[in-house]
Order: sequence, then structure tokens, then C-alpha cells
Amino acid sequence: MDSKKPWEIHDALTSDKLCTVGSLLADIRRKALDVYDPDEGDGTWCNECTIYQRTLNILKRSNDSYPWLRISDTGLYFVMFIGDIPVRYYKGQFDKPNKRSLTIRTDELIPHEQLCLLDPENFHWYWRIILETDENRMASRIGIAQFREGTEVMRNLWTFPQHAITNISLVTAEKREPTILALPTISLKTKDTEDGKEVGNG
Amino acid sequence: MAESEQFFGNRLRVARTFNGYTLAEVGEAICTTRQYIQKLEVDDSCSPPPITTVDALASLLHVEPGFFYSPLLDEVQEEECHFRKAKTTPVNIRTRARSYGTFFGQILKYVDSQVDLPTLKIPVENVPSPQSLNIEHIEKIAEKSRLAWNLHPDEPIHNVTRTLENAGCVVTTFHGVSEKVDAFSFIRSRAVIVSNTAKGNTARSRFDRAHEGGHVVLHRGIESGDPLLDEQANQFASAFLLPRSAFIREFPKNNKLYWPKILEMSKRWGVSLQALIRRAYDLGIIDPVKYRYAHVYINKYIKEDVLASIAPPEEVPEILPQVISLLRDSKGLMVSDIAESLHVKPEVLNSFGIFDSPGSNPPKNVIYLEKHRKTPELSRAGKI
Repeated sequence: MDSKKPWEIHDALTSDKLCTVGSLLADIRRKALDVYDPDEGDGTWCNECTIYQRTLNILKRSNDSYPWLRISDTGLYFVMFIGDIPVRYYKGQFDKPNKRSLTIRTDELIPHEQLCLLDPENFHWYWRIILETDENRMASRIGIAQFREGTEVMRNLWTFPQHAITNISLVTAEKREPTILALPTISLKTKDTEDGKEVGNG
Repeated sequence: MAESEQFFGNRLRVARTFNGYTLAEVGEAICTTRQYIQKLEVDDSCSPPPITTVDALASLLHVEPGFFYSPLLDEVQEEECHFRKAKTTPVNIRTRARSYGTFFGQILKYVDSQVDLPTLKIPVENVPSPQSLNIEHIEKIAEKSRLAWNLHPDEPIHNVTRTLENAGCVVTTFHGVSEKVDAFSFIRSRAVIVSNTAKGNTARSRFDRAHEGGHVVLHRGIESGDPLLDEQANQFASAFLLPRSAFIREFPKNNKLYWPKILEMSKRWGVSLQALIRRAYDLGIIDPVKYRYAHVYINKYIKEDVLASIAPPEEVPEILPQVISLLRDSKGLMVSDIAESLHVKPEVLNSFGIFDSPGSNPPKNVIYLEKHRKTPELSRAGKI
């Protein structure tokens, strides 16, 4: 089956909105990593907690700037709403989803079912934003995909464009390898090229 | 050699400084006085020295006696020579380095008479004068240079030396003058870049050559000596080796300097850590406090073995070895034959890294006429 774009499934999931969310998530991570200092005793677990708390805080505050974005926070997990579409997010690899993040929570279940009551094709499919990181734990790739309820089966993966998310493109733009130039070309002087040229230093 | 032929003292001076001798040392070595040597060098009306003196001078200075008997018309002058770090290079060292330039100019003239070399590709014709040239101009000229020289605007330069040679410069190295001279350049019929390999720092050598390339692009026909020119050539080298768009993308943006990534960048782009940090500072990615801290950190905490592991491979000039091979294969000329045409000993050519390749004797069953077909100019005493 052909892969569909998120906005082809739900109008609210436009690329602009998704890129805005992606940019926020990457930016939160970058700023939190700026203060990460293993020399002072910071651990990655502690830093990831900071990132989680900041994500909650920023997404809550973002509702002022982006009325289409809100979250439902139970204290143990949160669900993001883009328009009316419930979306959760996890940090990990696209093809190795975090099982805990695939669990369907009540705050997500009810809105999703209401949304898809008349949409059997998507009824059992839940949205997840996936944030991949590089060796420095900076965001390297962000995507959104549907996962079948209770499984790791994924479909309709859409990767956010790098150029649309500044701080992602900053760290992940393709690194070009150097061009290897050919040796300089030299040739024996011909009669023609010798004409009119001085020979010797006199 | 007839004693009546004119002895050219400037050739003696160039040969003496090339070999690193003082007047007194030459006088002592050939059992005469410092004053006499000086007189020979500067007083054109002085009567020619006896043949035994000429022979002794030639032997001491690694040239043939005929070397002294023709005018030296192409001596590299101070004002046309762009020295890297001109401010701190002592005059005597600059003089010696210039004599290297003069000798190399003679070799190049011979090469030019035999071989067609790449023509000089100037990326920007109407470069503003140094006084009106600003950083933005230099960034753009560096970007245009990359395009004109077949490089992508956003990629590391695999081999700076080859890039410059393809662009029509001739690059050579010298050894043993002084560590105080990093590199210098001058432009005659073609651009010549001479760099010192004494320090053995390959990243530094790449930057030195890019710096001299900057003089070739930005300062053709402009008298050297103004520190502003050196500063602009440094800016060019920095922009040429580390193009700003790619640099801003790749330089780690952490609050604290993230050294593993910085070391990786240094290796990938083939520049020293100092050059990398300076670029970050110039582009406003790091503030003066971090810039200063970074320098202290590099000097204090980054060990030699780490630096060695990120150093780019050594770059060697490739045009001249190719010329030597071509002349050997096509005309049967060996380095000793070229030296003979120039009235110098092969050691002089060797000092520029010009050697016969091992086992490179021409076939014994071929008689090359080239050796016997010298032009009238070349056959005259001292003519090169």
C-alpha cells in the first residue's frame, strides 16, 4: 500500500505544524544538552529527565503561541494534541519503537476513538512522533508514523524535512566528502607554444 | 672561463645567501677576507677574481663557475615577496628565503621553456584594493575561488597543494632556512608558492599554502610589506579552507566547547585546532572568553599524540616531479642535466625536492638528441 502523508489522513497534521513541533522538540534537547556537563557530575539519566520536564513545560506554554497545540499531562505521561489529533512522542529509532511509548493511554484512547469512529481505516492506528539522536544525543532526525494498536507495526512514516527545522539541519545536514582533483596536467612544449616565448633568463 | 668576462657579484650574493653563509664565512673558507667578498658582491667595477677563486667559490656554493658570468635579471625582490608573518621574520632570514625564491625562479624559467604547465586561473579579476577590501569581499572571493578551482563550496579540501597547482600556481618546499619563515610567494610569469617543511606540521602547511594562495588571488601586483595584506591572506585561507555555511552547520553549538566534535572537525577539514577555533570566533559562534579558554585548553590539555592522530597527511608538490619524469622519459634529461643547464650542482635542485626517481635512468639503447641540442642562449656561459 502506498504511504500517505499525515495531512492526507488528518487535515490538522499539516507539515507546517509538524515542523513547528519538531523544531520545539529539537530545540529543547539542544538547550538542555548545552548545560549538560559530565565533568561536573551530570549523568545522561539526569539530563534526559531535564529534557522531559522542559518538553512538558515548553509544550504547555506553546499553547499561547500555537493555539492548535496543547498537551494532556497526567504526571506519568503526557499526550500532545495537534488540533484534535492525539500524538505521543518517543526518543529512539524509527524502526525500533519504544514499547512503553506504544502503550495506548486513556488520555489518548478516548479522543482517538472519537476521532476515528467513522474512520475504520485508521481506527486501530495511533500517531507517534519519533525523535532520533546522534552520538551526542542531539536530534538528528524526526518523523511521524502510525503504529497499530498494541504492536510495533508501523505505516505512513513521514520524515520531517531537515531544512524546515533549523536546529536539526544545523547538526545533521549532509556532510560532503572532499572532491579528489586529478593531478595537474603538464605537457611538453610544442613548436607552436615555444614561439614568441623567451628561453633562458637573458 | 676567460678572466676578461664580467663577474656578476649579485650572483655571488644570491648563491652565498642561498647556502646560508655570511661574508666572513665565505672569506674564511676560501682563504680571503670578508671585505674582498663584499667588494666582489657589490662593486661592479671590481676586477674579476682569478679563476682559482671562482672555482673555490663555485665549489663552496654548489654552483658551476659559469654561474657567475651572466647577469642576474630575475632576482626576487623584497617588495614583490609576500612573507607569511613578515612582521616577525628577521631580515637575514627573509634574504635567505628570497635567494631560494630566486633560484627557484631560475629553475622554473628552465621548466617553462620545456614544458607547458597549467595556466593561472584567477577567480576574480577586479579585486578591490586592500584598503577597501572587507571581510565579506574576502568570504565571497574565497567561495568563488572554490568554484573556479573545481571544488564544491561546502566540502573539505582534500589536497590544498594540488588544488593550487591545478589553479596554475607552482608550489615548492625548502628545508633548513629557518623555522621563522613559514612560507612566501611571488608572482612572475606564474605564481610561485614556497613553503617551509621544517616544522613538520601538516595542518599548518596547508594553511600556509592557502594563505599564499590568498596573496595570489587578492594581491597581484601589490607591493608587499603591509601587515594588512597578511591579515587579509589569513582571512582568505580561513574562508577557503573552512567555508562559512558548512562550518556553521558542523561546529558544535553546545554551551561548553565540545572537544570530541571539534577534534573530529579538525581532522575532517585538515586544519589545526587553532585555525578552527579562530574561524568559530570570527564567525561569532564563540565569544572572546571561549576563544581564549580554547587556546589555553589546546596548549595545556591536548597532547601531541592526539594532535598527531588528527593531522592531515603530508602534501607534496606534484608538478615538478611530473616535469622531471616527463623530461626524463621524453628527452632523456636527468636532474644532473638540468642542473648543468642552470650552471648549478644537482644538490641545489635537490634542496627543492627535485630528485631523479629511483631506478629512473633513461634506456641505454636510446640516444637522446636533446642533451646535444642546446639553444644559443642556453649555451652561453651562465645563461639559464
